[in-house]
Amino acid sequence: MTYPTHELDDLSLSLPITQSALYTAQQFANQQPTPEKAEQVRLNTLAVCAVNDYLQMMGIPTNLKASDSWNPVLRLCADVADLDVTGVGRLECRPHTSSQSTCYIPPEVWLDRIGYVVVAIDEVSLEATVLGFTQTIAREELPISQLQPIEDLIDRLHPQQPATAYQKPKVNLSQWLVNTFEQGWETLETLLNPVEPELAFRFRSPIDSISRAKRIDLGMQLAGNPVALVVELQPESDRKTNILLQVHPIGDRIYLPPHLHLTVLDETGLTFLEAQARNADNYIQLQFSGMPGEQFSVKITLDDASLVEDFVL
Amino acid sequence: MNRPEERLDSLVTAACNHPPGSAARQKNLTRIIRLIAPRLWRAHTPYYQDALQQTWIYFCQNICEGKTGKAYDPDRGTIVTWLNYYLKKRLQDLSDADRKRQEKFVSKRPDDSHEAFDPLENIPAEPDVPALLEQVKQWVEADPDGELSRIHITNRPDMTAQLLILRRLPPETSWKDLAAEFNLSVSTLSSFYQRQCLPRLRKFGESEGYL
Repeated sequence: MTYPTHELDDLSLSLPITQSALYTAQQFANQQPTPEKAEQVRLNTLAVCAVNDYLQMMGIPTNLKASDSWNPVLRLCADVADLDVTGVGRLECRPHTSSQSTCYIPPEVWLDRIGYVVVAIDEVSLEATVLGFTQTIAREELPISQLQPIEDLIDRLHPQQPATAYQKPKVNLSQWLVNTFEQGWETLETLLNPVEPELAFRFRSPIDSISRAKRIDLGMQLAGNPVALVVELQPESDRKTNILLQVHPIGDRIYLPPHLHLTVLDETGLTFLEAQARNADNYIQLQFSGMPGEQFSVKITLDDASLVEDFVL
Repeated sequence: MNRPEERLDSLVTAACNHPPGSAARQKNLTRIIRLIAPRLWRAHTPYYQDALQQTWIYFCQNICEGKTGKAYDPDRGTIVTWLNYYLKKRLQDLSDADRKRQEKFVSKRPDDSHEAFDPLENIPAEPDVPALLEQVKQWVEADPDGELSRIHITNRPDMTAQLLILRRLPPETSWKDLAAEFNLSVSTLSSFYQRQCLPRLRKFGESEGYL
């Protein structure tokens, strides 16, 4: 079997494909209505079994029956290869069969996963080779070269350890009102370009308002085009707070990358507001208001890459 | 002693210095497996991979403490020797079991043969192919709670859970094509599908006794 790069061999981990994995995979595949779907289900099942066997070796408890990949209705209706890790969450185990340099991550598994393991399935040698792990995905095609060794997954499965405080906390905006800010949220002066007339487009009475900005890194897509997300709060009454969101270019850029999207999602993940940069936009913005305790997410998207920040008022 | 052996020794020490179940123990066990996997005995029998899986479990259980057997004793040989001995014994066991099954197979009628070996006997009976797809389709179309046709993507009353599930049943329309057809982004469609449609399908599966 060949991998895209030789270095990967050092990180990969070869595991057996057992008879019971083959048997289960075939059973699950036999229930599918089309040959394509059957093949997808068979490979997904083999990947889940391999990771499950590995976690069993490590003494990490899993629950196959609580996984969508083990649910006949769900595996029919979605391209799922999840494994429920007891007390931690769903781990997606994606099969990889070609020597391609990327692994396809279906859109229906982009949410609600504690991470993604890519497993190369070799049915000739009956080996399942874990190519690596990533905690988040930013696009449909996950580059194999960006995977972390499987040891990083172990950190993720031990949430009590400081090295694994990965569970992304929500940005608590009520704390901003008492001048407590999460890491990464800096004053506008620190982050934004020194002279920016656009900042005049803020709330009319900036006296009572609080604003912070965070550098947004969308990986390769934004290389050379760094941007900052600006959040400005203005308490209107006891209950109501106005929220202004802006995305600005930083560094020596004047314009935002065209087609950059700014989206506000409600608590259930549905799009609530949306703005898009055109060819020569200095910034884009959205404004809305919310009540204490309300949650929302802000998503910044450029082509296939996206990043989400979760907020609570 | 050559270099790989020294590296192995230090990994074993590192693993065993941490309690079972700790991240440090698990990571070092993983590194050891990665290092010695290519050096283990190989055989081309159908049960080799099962024997190998049992060997890895035996390794993790007994390299430090001896939970299911005697703990590994470096004075008696290298880890590879120790594991190869166990692996060959498992291969022998599986081959013996296989021979017994074959004998049973010969003495019994051929069509009874499958019940003798089924590694997953505890898996519940699975619904057959067309039935399940039809059943899901009928439920989505009938929408007995009226919920699937009521729930839709914000500001898009035409994009209901019902429509999206029907379009994603195999042979499914790709996310890209759906996005183009309905002028929505793939992530808007798929996040609605994951948050609003899949939980309801899960519930349906549960109510039909598939879990």
